[in-house]
Amino acid sequence: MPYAKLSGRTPARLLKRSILAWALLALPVPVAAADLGGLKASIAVDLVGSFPLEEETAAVNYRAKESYKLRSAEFMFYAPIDPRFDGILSFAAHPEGDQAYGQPEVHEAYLSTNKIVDGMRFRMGQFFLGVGRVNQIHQHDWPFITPTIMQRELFGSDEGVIDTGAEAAALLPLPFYLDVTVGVTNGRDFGHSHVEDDLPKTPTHYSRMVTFTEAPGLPTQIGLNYVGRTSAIGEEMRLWGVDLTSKLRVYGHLRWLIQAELWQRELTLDGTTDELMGGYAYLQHYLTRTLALGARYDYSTVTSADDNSRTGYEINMLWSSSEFARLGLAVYHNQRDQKGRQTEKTDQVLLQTAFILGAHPSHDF
Amino acid sequence: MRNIPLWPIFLLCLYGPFLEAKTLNVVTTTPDLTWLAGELLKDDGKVTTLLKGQEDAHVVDAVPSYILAAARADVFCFVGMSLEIGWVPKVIEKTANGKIQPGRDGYCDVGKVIDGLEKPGGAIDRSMGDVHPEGNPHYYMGLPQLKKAAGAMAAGFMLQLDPAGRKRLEGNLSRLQGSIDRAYHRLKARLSQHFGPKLPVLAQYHGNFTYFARSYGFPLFGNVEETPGVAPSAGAVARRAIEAGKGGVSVVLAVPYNPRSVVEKFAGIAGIPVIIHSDMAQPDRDALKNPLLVQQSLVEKIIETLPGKARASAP
Repeated sequence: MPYAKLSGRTPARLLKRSILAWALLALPVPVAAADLGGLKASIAVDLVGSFPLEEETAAVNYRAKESYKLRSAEFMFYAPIDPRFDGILSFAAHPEGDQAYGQPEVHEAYLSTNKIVDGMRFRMGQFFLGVGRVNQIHQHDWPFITPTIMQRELFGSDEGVIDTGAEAAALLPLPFYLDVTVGVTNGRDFGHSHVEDDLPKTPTHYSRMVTFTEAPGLPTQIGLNYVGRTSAIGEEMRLWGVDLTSKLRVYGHLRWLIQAELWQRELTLDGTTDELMGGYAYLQHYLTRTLALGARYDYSTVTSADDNSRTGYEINMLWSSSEFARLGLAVYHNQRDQKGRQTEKTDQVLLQTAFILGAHPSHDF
Repeated sequence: MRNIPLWPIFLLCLYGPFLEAKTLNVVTTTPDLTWLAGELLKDDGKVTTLLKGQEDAHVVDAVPSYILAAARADVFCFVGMSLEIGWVPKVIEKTANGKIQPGRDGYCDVGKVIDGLEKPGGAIDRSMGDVHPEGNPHYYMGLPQLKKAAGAMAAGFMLQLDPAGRKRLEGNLSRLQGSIDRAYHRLKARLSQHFGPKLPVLAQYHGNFTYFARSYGFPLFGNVEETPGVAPSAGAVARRAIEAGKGGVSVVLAVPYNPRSVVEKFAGIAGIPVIIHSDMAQPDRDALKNPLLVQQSLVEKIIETLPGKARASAP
């Protein structure tokens, strides 16, 4: 039986509709309809291969299976919305756990402005909280391959902390650089969670202060951070952190990068407080303008109980064909020491392929 | 006489101390633009440069000290033509300084008025390397372009000065353009005197000297780089050097941040000398502290390196 008959559409009716459709298409299209209004699109693809050097049983493996697969494919769209606001939407597809392929999820969806109150910047919507260093950088832009142990242990995710809320920032009118950010978000979850908890007693609130010094030959940025939240069941979380970034450039080209963070987290429930401290220090040296060697040391420990610590390192070699394409090779070590238990450890060789299609916004320091 | 109103005199006494001429706070990305702004504004402006003239302006990033300086600016001038696209938008955004946001009076994209050389034709994609859709952005090495840039900057400053300041600016612009013209003609005559009507053929590592070469009439062989922003392979260098040898190239020019070993290899195969010279003014160095001195220094270096008509014909 013909399809037109099945769907209740006679050939004569279909023809009439087709003529109408063609007539509509032939109408002059306003220029604005064809204009993308300054819309820019960026796609970042990040593939990581992990090859354990020992049997794949350690729970501390960066990747549980020997594989070379997509870590993240991130799609970002951004444009001015009108003379006051800019907008950004980014979503990333990445496999969760043992998934073979990723499913897309919205990472950022916010409008921002720096044109309403002179000297102030605002964001409203869903975004990576404006605290810390690694937390605000997309995975494909990290200067190393693996997530830090600190990020996983203290922020509960390999990726940055995402939430929905509002953030204000300003460079204070002082003779030296002091940029202050404050924000409040829903706080129904914390980290990079895919489930939503009950309404928290205190929403997630955070602040960050950044200063900068032109230390002799080594410009350095230092950030002080605080994040707090009380969950629906009354668990109080407080996070304090300091981050440091130094860049030594020769003729403007990056030669040395020093990046480090140290965070302390307190979780208090029913009068009992768990304390956790974690951090990393990373040193990267560009042998040439495209080839860099880097080494990162990770550490985290439960300071309140002194029975659980994790240490790790990544030694990498990154070759960037341009700022839009990178190949990386790394040796990764991660171990967990717990009182009364056998040390768990892993050693892996990692390969990274990352590239960016389309536009890419300019970067912070 | 009794009918003369006294209120204007009263108001003048009241507000007089506040009516002093406005001093513009101008921030520029490069020292060349700083010099232009300084010559245009003289005592009517305070000018700060972000770069010191030694950096590759393509690759620096949004350093917080740049943001701090730009946050107080009445006018922010940059070379444009995508030269600083990797960091200037972030600097301007993070200042949240309403005066210098795109579209405002203090947003001074100087490259907008320049007729860019080497504009790519047709569709552009990244396989073509670091190509600028607006054309070669190193126009500050061409004195005719620098004169035009001065005019554009002056037009921007006019909007923000009081009538007396505008009048002074007009005079300063005229004097500045006159001095650029005189320097250009003097250097052109100097080259002509040394080389005669036929100037030597130049090669360059990257497009830093295109405007310089074209403005004086140097035949330009082209670049050592096959793809802008990408270091050429050894084979490509050798191929270009052989072509340069056949094309009668006399000297290869490069800036200090170009890969010296590649430039020297090119020069070695082509059998020509190398001149490493800054393309930007460097306020810390007396010999290069403004773009006119940069031009003079480079012209003298070329003359010193290459035998001229007189010397070549001497027994």
